[in-house]
Amino acid sequence: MKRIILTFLLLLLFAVPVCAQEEMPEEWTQVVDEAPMTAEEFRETDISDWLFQAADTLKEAVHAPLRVFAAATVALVLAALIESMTPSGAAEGISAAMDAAAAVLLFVLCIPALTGVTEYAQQAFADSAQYLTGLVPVFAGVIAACGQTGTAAVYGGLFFTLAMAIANFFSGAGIPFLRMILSLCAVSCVDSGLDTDALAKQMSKWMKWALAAAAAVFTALLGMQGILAQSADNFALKTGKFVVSSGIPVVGKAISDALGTVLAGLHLMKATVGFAVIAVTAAQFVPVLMQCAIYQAVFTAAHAVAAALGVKRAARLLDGFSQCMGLCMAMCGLFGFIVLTATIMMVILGSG
Amino acid sequence: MTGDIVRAFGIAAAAIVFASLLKQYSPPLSVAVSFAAGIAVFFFALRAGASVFVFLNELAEHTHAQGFACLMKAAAIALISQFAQDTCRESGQAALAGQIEFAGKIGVLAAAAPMFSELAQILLRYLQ
Repeated sequence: MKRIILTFLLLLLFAVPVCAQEEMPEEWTQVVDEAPMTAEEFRETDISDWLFQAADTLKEAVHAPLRVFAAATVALVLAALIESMTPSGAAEGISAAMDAAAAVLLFVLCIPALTGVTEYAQQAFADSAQYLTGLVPVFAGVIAACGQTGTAAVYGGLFFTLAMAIANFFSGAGIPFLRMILSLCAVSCVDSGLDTDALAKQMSKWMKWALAAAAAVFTALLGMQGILAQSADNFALKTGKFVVSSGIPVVGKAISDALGTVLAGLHLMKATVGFAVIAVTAAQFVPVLMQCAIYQAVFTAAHAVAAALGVKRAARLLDGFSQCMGLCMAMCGLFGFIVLTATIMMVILGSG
Repeated sequence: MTGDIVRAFGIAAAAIVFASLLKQYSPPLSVAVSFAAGIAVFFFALRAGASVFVFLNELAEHTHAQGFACLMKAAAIALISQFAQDTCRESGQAALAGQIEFAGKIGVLAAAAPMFSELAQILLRYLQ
């Protein structure tokens, strides 16, 4: 009788891993459904498909920047023609006024595009912050369900706090700071007496240093905390398995192995949910990064044209625009890197 | 186009000869001759460059027509004021040349005023 009951209990225990793999809580399913593609679709997509998709996205994204480049080139050619028509012994005041007018025209031509990109980036930060507010507790729950309570605490605590702080800082202060740099560029093209150009470049350098420092600190802190938490979680799990296998007679080893199987299934679900987070973040930030990169290339090319045509103020202005786009790209890249790195680390840690 | 340029050179060469001759007898007339010749040369140069202006205008219509129109007006004012300054300096009126330069600067800024106004509006939006 005892043997029949024990065999029945053993069969019930083996059923648990099977059931665990079939059911996913509704919150986790919601996160996975929000992703633009699943992990299986990602695995099945060829590199050539990725390249075609990237080419299509690039073709759509490149129209507006090319129009801006064409308009800027026309403005530069006109300014250079007019400067060449002005006699070489022309009064400095009139020549400077003409130069300023040409630079202002260039600013007016390019600023709608710049404003659009910065607003797009600001919206991406706001959307990402909102998404993380809903997602992080869910993903932390997934990680805790995998037996990694320490790691879950790091993700739900340190990462969430830092990510929200950075998103709100970039959205509320970083983008307005960029606009200040653009305003200084505009002032420098109107009045050559004030060297606001040098101030704009210095502000740009401060921003880059701050971004580099934030990236280094965040990566080191998250990495160290994650690894320490993971060590504690591993120790807790192994201790638990040892206690179960040695404490429970007859079926202790089987229960310990079944526990391992259940955890393996949960790790698979963790990877699925983690992939969904990565996919959504990539979908939010890759278009912005692409826009910033294309506009930076456009303004760098226009700066080269202005320098070749000898339109100095316009060349300085375009250099400033190129720097601003670089900064915007750095902010979006840093935030995306933080979210992706933290999520990938949480997926990899404890997966064996 | 080439014909207009050749005519302009011809008028300038003739004006140099007449103005040099008249300078000995009547300097004011010499100044008047060089001024009239300058206007004629300017007119022929504008006629020769008409196709360039038409081309630039067509390009400008695809981008920011108002801005380009302001820049062209400013360029015209700059050229006219430069011509007037040179004439004044040639006749020994340096003070008048300085005032014309000032008027030219004001004219260029006034012609470009719509663009400066648009720039100010953009910066004010950033401040808000």
